[in-house]
This record gives sequence, structure tokens and C-alpha cells, in this order.
Amino acid sequence: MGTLSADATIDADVLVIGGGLAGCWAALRACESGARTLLVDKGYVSRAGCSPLSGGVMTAPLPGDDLDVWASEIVERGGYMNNQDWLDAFLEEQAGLVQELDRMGPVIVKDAKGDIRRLSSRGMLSVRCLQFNPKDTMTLLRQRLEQNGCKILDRVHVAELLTDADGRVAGAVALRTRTGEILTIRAGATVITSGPFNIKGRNMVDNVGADGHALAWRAGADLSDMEFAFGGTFSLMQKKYKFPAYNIALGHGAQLINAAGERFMKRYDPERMERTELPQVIAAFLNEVLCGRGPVYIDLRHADDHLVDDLRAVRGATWADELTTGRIKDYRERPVLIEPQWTVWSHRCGIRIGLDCSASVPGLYAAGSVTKIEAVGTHASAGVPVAFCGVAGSRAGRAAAEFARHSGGGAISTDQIDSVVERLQRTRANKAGEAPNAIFLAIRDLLGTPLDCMVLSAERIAEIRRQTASLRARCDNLSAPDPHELLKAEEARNFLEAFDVSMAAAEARPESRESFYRKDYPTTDNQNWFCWHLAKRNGDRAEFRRERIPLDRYRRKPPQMPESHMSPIGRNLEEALHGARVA
Amino acid sequence: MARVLLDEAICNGCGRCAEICPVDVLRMNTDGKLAIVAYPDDCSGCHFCVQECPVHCIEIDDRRNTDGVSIYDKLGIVDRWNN
Repeated sequence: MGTLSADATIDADVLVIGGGLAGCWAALRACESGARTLLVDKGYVSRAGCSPLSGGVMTAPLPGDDLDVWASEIVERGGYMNNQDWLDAFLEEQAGLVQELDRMGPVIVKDAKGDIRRLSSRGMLSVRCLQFNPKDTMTLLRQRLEQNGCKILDRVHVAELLTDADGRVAGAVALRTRTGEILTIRAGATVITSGPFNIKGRNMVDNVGADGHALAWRAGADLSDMEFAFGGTFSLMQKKYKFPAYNIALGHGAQLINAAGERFMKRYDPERMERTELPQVIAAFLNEVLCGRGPVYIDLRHADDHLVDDLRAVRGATWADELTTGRIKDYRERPVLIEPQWTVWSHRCGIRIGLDCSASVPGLYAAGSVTKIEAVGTHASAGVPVAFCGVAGSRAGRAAAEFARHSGGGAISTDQIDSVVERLQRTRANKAGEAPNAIFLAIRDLLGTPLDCMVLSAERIAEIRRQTASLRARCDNLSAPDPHELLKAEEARNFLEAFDVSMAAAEARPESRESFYRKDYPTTDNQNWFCWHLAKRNGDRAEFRRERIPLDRYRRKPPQMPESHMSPIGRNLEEALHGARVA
Repeated sequence: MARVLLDEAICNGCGRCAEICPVDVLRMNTDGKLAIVAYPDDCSGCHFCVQECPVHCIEIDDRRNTDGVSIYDKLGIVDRWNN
């Protein structure tokens, strides 16, 4: 062996994989700690990942706020499944980060007096958020990194993590996705910040996938709550147009109605109606269409006049809006056909991290949405996931720099490097295989409609796992005529590997809870499943263990916890699945 | 998927779109003077290129191919109000 060595070698103290908010803050803190820092991204740092496409809302504590009240609200909303140690640290440090971001440049929305304008968030009484311009923020962060001496490599995909003889993560093999050059990176510590669990081609954030989850998994790190892989919102109009702003539309008076013109959510949640938790609205949507009362429309006839202004403002921050570009012309005169997407898209599952953002393998750290965001419980809201990127990124960068200074950086065997290089070269040399896009199309068909992803069962999960295994076998025969296609081949393999862990976790969980629903186990089983569900790799298999949530030690405790109850999705789907009409 | 429409007659070759495209769909041509749509099937419709092109030579067609993912199609449900 040793004959296939990479084209070039780069040395760093800290390697950061992924240049969104979490990665930029991690790299900045590592630089400030004196570490030689390398930040790599498959795209272009400042326009990469989902951060520049975020809605621009983050949790914003300011001096004088009673953060204990905020924490209590977030825990209650999260079904007491939050890591409360993380939540307290998060709120305290986010107050400082808001000030730092404000000093960095004019990216935060202010009121006429020049104070930070804050909004209340859906379902929250005390927690306040600010609005910021995500793209300008990312541009400023890139500039700060360059000023601080961070080495940034755009268009670089990390193919595999490398470990030293002591089992520490000590670097990576990476691919330059324009030139095909293969790099060996030797690093004292590595931080993964590659964003949420996502499937390409569905959610408009196509340079995010499951690479970080798969890298951590193969390196032996624990993943947490991987069965909570599905998410979505009302996002498709007329079966083909993107609807970008369900929450904004609700704020301006939009309603969901069924084919009979009935505002059906009043039967499912008379108090909050369309503003109840999204999994429950989508379950109600499915119930309506399965019971013959579909299709469902978004009714904008009564929306106030500021709707269009706000949609235009969002367009600046995110993607285009079909209403304001005139493709759907008469939305003020008649309801518009709408349906949700419910597919692989989750901040709720991912790499398990400690309070210093360390993963369960020495030398490896993670931050942002690639982790199971520890501060939130069952529902992430009030801008917490975006804010968590800054706080966790900062913690990860500092801790990784510290680790690299004292413990990191052993020798890496050439065999490890060679096997990755061989894998990449084999796909490049294969002239007769399938194109990677064929795999992504097959995954689309496998995931299917929102119904196919929301209503799981032992049979459905087994079928998904069978087909996932078959697609993984097809990945062994992919062709990639250029490095762009080679990246996609890697992304397909990584997605399928992480997705199989997710479905194995679903198989192991005989209950339903919040966004996770099994029709063969429709109740929430607090006696056995009020826990964190951790997965570890053992050869080709996933091993699972349940970790108790230490409520006895936490300050905020639930008033009472029923041993079991019908899950909210199960309740809303009752009529379609069991013939009992909702009141 | 979305489609990028790039008007080469207007492109000034500044290279910003090829620099920032998150999915690397836009590249510069071999002499580096014009942007090209190198991977038309891979556009995710983020609109960064549209927003940052200084001469407004790029448009995105966002119409999505939802074959196999629309529950209305699967259940044969039609839009009775608008048809």
C-alpha cells in the first residue's frame, strides 16, 4: 500500500467542515484561540449551506430579560425533552453573541430609535427574537475570518475522517470538486458543521445533505434521535410552485380550507388552528384528503395588505416567491391549491455532543444543525436553531483549539488514506455505471408523498430499509465522469448510509412521539421512551441505547407526565385510519 | 428542479455567479469571459445568482417537477375550484 497517496497535504490545528453560521463561528473562535484554522465547504463560504437561506430570525436575549422565564417556556414547549444544561448555557451566551453580531455590522433590524426590534415567536409569550439579514451576516463573517488569518478552501468535499493509532480523529481526506485534486488534511482537531439532515432535490438547500452525519457515523461517533428525520411545511402551490412563507402568510391572516370551504383546523385545534405545531397541521391535512374532503387550499382573500410587502422582503432574504412574481395571478380573488412537503429535513436529529461540543470520539467536535440541537426538545422554535449555531459554533471552535494544543495530531496510517483515494478513483474510472442523479430520483420515489413519510409502520420501515440496501448496492457501481459528479456519488452514498441508521432507529422505537408517527404504535409511551435515543456503529450495524433525561436534576419539571397517551399525529389521523371523525 | 436561464448576450463575465453558486451549476467558459450553465439539472433554485448578478442576465424558472411526490396525484384528487 502507500501507492495511491493524495495529491497534496495540508496541516492545520483545527479543521472545520462546513461554512454556514456554525462553521464560521467555530472557525473564528479557533482563530482567536491562536489555532491555525482551515475552513472547507463544498460550496462558497458565505453562500453555502442553509444559513444564507434562513428566515433571518434568531433568539435575542438582551440585558434585563429574565432568562429563567425564557428557559421555562422553551422547556415547556419542548415537552421537557431539552437538555436543560445546554439550554441555560445557550441563553446566557446568546445574549453576548447578539451584541457581538450587532457590533460586526448593520445586519440586525432596528426600530426608529435605533434599538434592536424584537418580535414574539409563534406560541411563545416571553421569548423574543430579532430579525437579521442572513446573507449580509455570512458575508461579514467571511470577511472576519479572512482578517483573522483563517485559511478558507471553497469547493472542497471531505470524503472521510482519518484517525491516529490512539483512535483520535486526526484529519481527513478531501476532494477539490472543480479540479478533482485529492487532499490529505492533517488536523489536531476537527469540527463538523455541515447542516441539517436533508435530501437533495426537495428542500432547495441542495448542498446540504447527510455528509457530516455519515462522516461522524463512520468515525464511530454517537448519533442521537435519528428517527426524527422527517419535517416539512406547506410549500407547494398548484402542485408545482414553491410557496416560501407559510408562517408569514398566517401572520397576515391566511387560512387553510378544505374543498367544502371549511376552515378544517378548527376541528383539530380550535384555539390555535393553523398555528399549531406543523406536524399536527400536516396530519390534519392528510386526514382531510384521505377522508375525501380534499384538496386543501390556502385562502389569502382575507389577508391584510402588508402580506405582499412582507413576502417581497422575504424574497430578498431567501428565494423567489411565486405570488409576487405574478405566476399565480388571482390569489386575492380565490383560494390557491396547496400541499405540504413532509420528507427528510431535520434539525431534530444528528451528532450527539457534550457541553463543549465534543462528539463521542476524541478529536471530533460538532456544532449547529448537524447535531441533535441539545437546547431544544420536541419543537424547535423562536429562532433557537439559528442562534444555537452561533453559541455551539463558538464553543466547538474554542474546545477544538484547546484539544489540538494539548492532545491532538497523531500519525495517520497511509492505508487509511489509500482506501479513500481508491474509492474516489474507482468511481471516476468506472465508465459503465449509473449516473448519481439516478440514485437521487430513486430516493425521491422511495420517500414518496407526505403520507408515505409521515405514516410509518413496521412494514413500511422494513420496505424502506430493503430498498435503501438495494440503492446502497447500486452506489457501488456509479460513474462520475468529472469531480462534480463524483461529489454527487459521495453525497448519495452518505445520505443512504445515514438514512438507514435513521430507519433502524425508527424500527427500534415502538411508539409515536411528536413528529415521529407509527400507525402500528400510535401512542406516546413516556414510561419507556421519554429518553434520548443514541445510535452507535458496530461493524455494519447500528446499536441503540436509551439515555434517561435527568429531570430529577433539572430545575424545570413537568407538572405531571402521563405514562402514555395518543400522539398528536395519531389523534389527527384517527378518522382516516380508524374511521372516527374528529369532533 | 429549477432551471437557470442565462442570457449570454448580457453577461459581462464578472464571475460572481460562478463564485457563489452553492451547487456549482454555474461556471465560467474556457476563456473565463462568460458564465455558462454547466450542470442544468442540478439547480436548486436558491436565486443567489439572480440577486447578485450586476447586469441582471440570469432568471430562474422555479416550476418544480413533483412527479411521485404530490399526494393529490397519488389519490387522484383534482382542484375542483379552479378547473
